Amino acid sequence: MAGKRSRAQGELEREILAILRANDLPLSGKEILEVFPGDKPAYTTLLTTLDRLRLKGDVEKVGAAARNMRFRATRTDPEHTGKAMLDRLTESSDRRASLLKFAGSLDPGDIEVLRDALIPKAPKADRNG
Amino acid sequence: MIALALTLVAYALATLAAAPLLVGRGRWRVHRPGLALTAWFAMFFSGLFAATGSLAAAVAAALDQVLDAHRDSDSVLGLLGVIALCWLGFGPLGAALFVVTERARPILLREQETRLELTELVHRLRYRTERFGDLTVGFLRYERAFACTLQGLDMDVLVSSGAASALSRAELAAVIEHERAHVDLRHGLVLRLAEVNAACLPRVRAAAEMMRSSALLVELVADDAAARRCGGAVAGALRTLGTLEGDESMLLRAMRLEQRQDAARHVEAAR
Ligand SMILES: [Zn+2]
Repeated sequence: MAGKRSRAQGELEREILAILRANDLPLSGKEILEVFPGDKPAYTTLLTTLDRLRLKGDVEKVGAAARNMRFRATRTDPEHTGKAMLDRLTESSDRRASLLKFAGSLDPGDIEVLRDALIPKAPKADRNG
Repeated sequence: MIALALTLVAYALATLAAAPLLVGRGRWRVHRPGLALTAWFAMFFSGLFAATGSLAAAVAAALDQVLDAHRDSDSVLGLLGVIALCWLGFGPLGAALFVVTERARPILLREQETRLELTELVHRLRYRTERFGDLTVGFLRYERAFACTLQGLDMDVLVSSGAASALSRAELAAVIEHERAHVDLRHGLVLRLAEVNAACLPRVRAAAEMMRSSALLVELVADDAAARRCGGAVAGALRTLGTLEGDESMLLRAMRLEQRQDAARHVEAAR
């Protein structure tokens, strides 16, 4: 139980989405659990997560009655195309002038400059001094 | 007048040569990034100003000569000489302006494309919008740790879900403060200027070096600005994201901030 709880919310969402996207037909909660790889989440956790995904617009409910409620990934996958675009953007050369990124906008030369300025006074020497 | 023109030319050339020597190298920049950036800007603009000024002084000096020579003779010839000199003198200025515009155009165009693409991405991937003080922060669904700012979007700052879920609340605030510094200090403009400068002087290594170091310096300046407001959370955020992304430059930036905090603590303890 504790192990299942500690699974990151995002990770669970991603796995469920992956399962739904791999299936053309809508799946019920039980069916999702059956094909769940690795540690299976509790049924209620699964339903809560599905609900969250539904609110985000990633998953839609099929069938009205609670008993035969099924889920499928929303057909258009804007997320996927969006991510491909973002992948391309973060690799593009114009990021220097336009994209000011908190992460990863420095090139090897910059890293060299930083290393050069910071490493000589290693933390240890600093603390002893 | 000729002496003035020569002095200004000499100054312009000196800044061209000295700026990369002073600002383009040395460890001190890592410790005083704001000073380095300011020094570069001061040199750049004063050099530009001096170059334009020298041209004007040279033209004025030449005009003087022509007018002197023709004072007693036919005044039409004198007038023609003046006009020719103006064309000769300001021709280079016009040519320079033309080159700058031409070189800047593709850079600005690419930037506009990026902005359009990001706007599209905001539509597709945004799952939450939040206000942080006066900034609007959009959260994008994207596993990689990522935060950025770009002028011309309806969001001031974009943060990826990968970054948001890895960071503590304090660290997230630190990342946003870092981005705020980019916005407030117009770092987009700084980088654009450095890029246009490098594009106009394609064979000048100093210009390329300047472009590279300006990218590093604006990051360090923004780190420092954020650290003044958020303290150790900035280093924490850099360490978290750097580890997640396997980005050594971020770990080094974290180390730099930690070294500064250590140094500050030593000073405090010595008192
Ligand atoms: Zn930054």
